[in-house]
Amino acid sequence: MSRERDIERVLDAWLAQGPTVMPDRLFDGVLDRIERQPQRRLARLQRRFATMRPITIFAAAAAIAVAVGAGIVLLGRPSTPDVAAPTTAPSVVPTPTAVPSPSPVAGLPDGVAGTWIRAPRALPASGISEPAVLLLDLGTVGTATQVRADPGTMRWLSEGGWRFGSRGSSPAPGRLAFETTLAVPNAGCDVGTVGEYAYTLYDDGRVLDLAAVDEPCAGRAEAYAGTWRLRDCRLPRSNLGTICAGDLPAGTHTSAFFDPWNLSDGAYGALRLTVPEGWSNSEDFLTSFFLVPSEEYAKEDGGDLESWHGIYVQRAASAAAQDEECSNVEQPGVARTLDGLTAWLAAHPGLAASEPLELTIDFKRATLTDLAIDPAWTATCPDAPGGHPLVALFREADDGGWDWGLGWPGNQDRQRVILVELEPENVMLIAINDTNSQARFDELVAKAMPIVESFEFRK
Amino acid sequence: MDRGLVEAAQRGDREAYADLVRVRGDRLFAIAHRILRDVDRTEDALQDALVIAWRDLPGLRDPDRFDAWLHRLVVRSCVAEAVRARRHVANLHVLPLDIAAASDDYLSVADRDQLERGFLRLPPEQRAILVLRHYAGLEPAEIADALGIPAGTARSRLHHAHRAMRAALEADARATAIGGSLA
Repeated sequence: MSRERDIERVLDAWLAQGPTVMPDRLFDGVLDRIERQPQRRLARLQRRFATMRPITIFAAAAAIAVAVGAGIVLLGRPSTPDVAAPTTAPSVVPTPTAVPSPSPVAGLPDGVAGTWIRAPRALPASGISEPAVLLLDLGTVGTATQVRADPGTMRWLSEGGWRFGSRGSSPAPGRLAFETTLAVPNAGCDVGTVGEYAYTLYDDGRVLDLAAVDEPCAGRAEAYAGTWRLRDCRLPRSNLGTICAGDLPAGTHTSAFFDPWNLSDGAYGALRLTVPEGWSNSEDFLTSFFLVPSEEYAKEDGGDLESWHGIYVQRAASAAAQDEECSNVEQPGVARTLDGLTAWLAAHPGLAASEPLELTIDFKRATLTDLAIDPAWTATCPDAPGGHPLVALFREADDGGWDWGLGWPGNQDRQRVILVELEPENVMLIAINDTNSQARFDELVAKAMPIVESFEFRK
Repeated sequence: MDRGLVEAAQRGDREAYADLVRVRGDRLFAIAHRILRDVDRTEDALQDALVIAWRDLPGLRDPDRFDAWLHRLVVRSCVAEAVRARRHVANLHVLPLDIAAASDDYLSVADRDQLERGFLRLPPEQRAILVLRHYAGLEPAEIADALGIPAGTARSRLHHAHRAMRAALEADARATAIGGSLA
C-alpha cells in the first residue's frame, strides 16, 4: 500500500472522530445576531481582487472572540505595560451624557450595548498576572454576557481553564447588574452572584465609565470597573470583529492589537503614531492597521468600499504571485527583504513606478515608491468587475493573511508604497492609497506623510 | 436543495434562514471543529460565518449554489480563526506513529495526540482541504467549488496537504526522538 493511501486511511479514521452536533447555544446566538443584522442589498463596487484586502478574513477572526455575548476578551499582552491607553484622554472635559432608558429587548440600555476597549491591565484576582488588552462586549446577544480571558494566547480558553459568563440587566437608570452564569475559578464568582455597577457615558456615548457599587465577585470587579472607549468598526465585515478606535482626537496614539513583529496573538502598543484632528482608525488587527480621514470613515456603513482613501499598514510583506488566477501565493524568486521587494516593484512591467527613494522611519530603513498602473497594462484578475487592469503587489509572508494590489474601476488608483525594514526579512507595507484621482491622491499624501513619519515601532 | 428556502431567506425571511441553518448546522459544526480542533473557536468561527452568510445572502446569484457558498464562508472563517490560533499549538510530549505500519487499530490515544499535533502544524488552508476531503467526503471538484478555486488547484493542494501531513507527522516523530534523548 502506498504511503499516500496510508495517510488517507489515517485521516479518514481520525477525522471521523469528534463532535457532530451543533450546540443549541450556537444556533440561538446566530438567530439573535441576525435579528439585528440587516442584509446587504445594494450592489456596490467589489473589491479589486476576490481575496484582496485583509479586512474580510481577519476581521472575522477577531470577531470570533467577541461575538458570543457581552464580556471581556483579553486580546494581547503589551510589550510595554506602561504604554498609554489606545486613545488619548479626551481633549475636553468630558460631559456626562443623559442616561438612556433601559431597553426591554436587550436588557441593557441602548447606549451601553456594544463593544468597548480599554488599556491593558493585569487581573490578579482572576489569576492573570500580566497586563492584557481588554474588550468589554455588552449586550450583543440579548442579556447574555460572557467574559473570556486571554493574555495573548487564547490557550487558556481552549484548555477550558478560565471562562467567565454573566447575564446583564439594568435594574435602575444609571445602573447595570451582572449575574454570574458560569463560575470563574479563584475569582470569587459563583454562579448566581450578582454585581451592581453605576455607569456614566461621556463624549456623546463614546466613553463608558463603570464603577462597582455592590460586587462580591472580585474578578469581575477588577475587569469591569474603569473607563472604556467604544469600539467603532464600520468597514466591510469589520463590524463583526477586529478593533477600531474610530475617530481619533489629535495627539499620539498606540495600536491595541496590530502585531508587526508577529510575536503573539496581538501586541498592544506595537505601533505608535501622532495624528492631527480629522483621522480615524478604521482597523486595528493582528496583521493590519488602517487610518482614514474621518470624513471618509463617516461614510462607511459596513458595506463594500466604493473607494480607498487612507493609510493602510500591513505586516510582513512578500511579493504576490503573478498568475492569472491572482492566487494568494508568494511570487517565487523575490526576496522578502527591503531591497528585494523594492527592486521587484521597480521592475514590474505593469507598474508606472517612480524612482524609489530611501528614507528612515523610526530609524528603520525604508523605501518610498509612487505607483500607478502602466497605461499599456491589461492583465486583470478573475473577479475584477469589468476586467479593469490589476497588478497583484504583495501578500503576507508565510500566512497569506492579507493580499494587496493596485487597480480599481476607473483606473485612477494611485499608491505611495512605503516599505519599512523592521527586520532583515520582515518588511512592513505602508500604502497611502487613493482610488479616485491623482488630485485626491496628492492631497492625501500631503496629509498622510507627517503621520507616517511619526510612526514608532515597539517590539 | 432548499431553493425555495434560500430564495425566501434572500428576501429577508429569517425563519427560512433559520431552517436552512438548522438543517446544515450539525454538519458545518463538525467540519469547522475538525479544522479548528477547539470547541470555543469552532463556535465563534461558525457563528460568525453564519451571520455573514445571512448578511450577504441577497448577493448570492444562484440559490442552487447556497451549500457550496456556505461551505466557503465557513472554511474562510475557520481559516481566519486558525491563523489567530496558530502560534499556540502545544508542543508537548509526543509519541511516534509509524504511518507505514498503520492498520485499522492504529488510532490509539497516543496516535491521536500525534495526529492532532501534526494536523495543527499544517497551514489552516491545508487543514480545511483535508477535512473537506476526508471528513466531508468531497471530491476534488467539489472541494474546488467549496473553496472557489479551480479543480486542478484543489487536486494539487490536496496532494500537497497529504504530503505536508506526512511531513508533519515525521517531524513530530523526530522531535520525540530528540525530546526523548534530552529527557
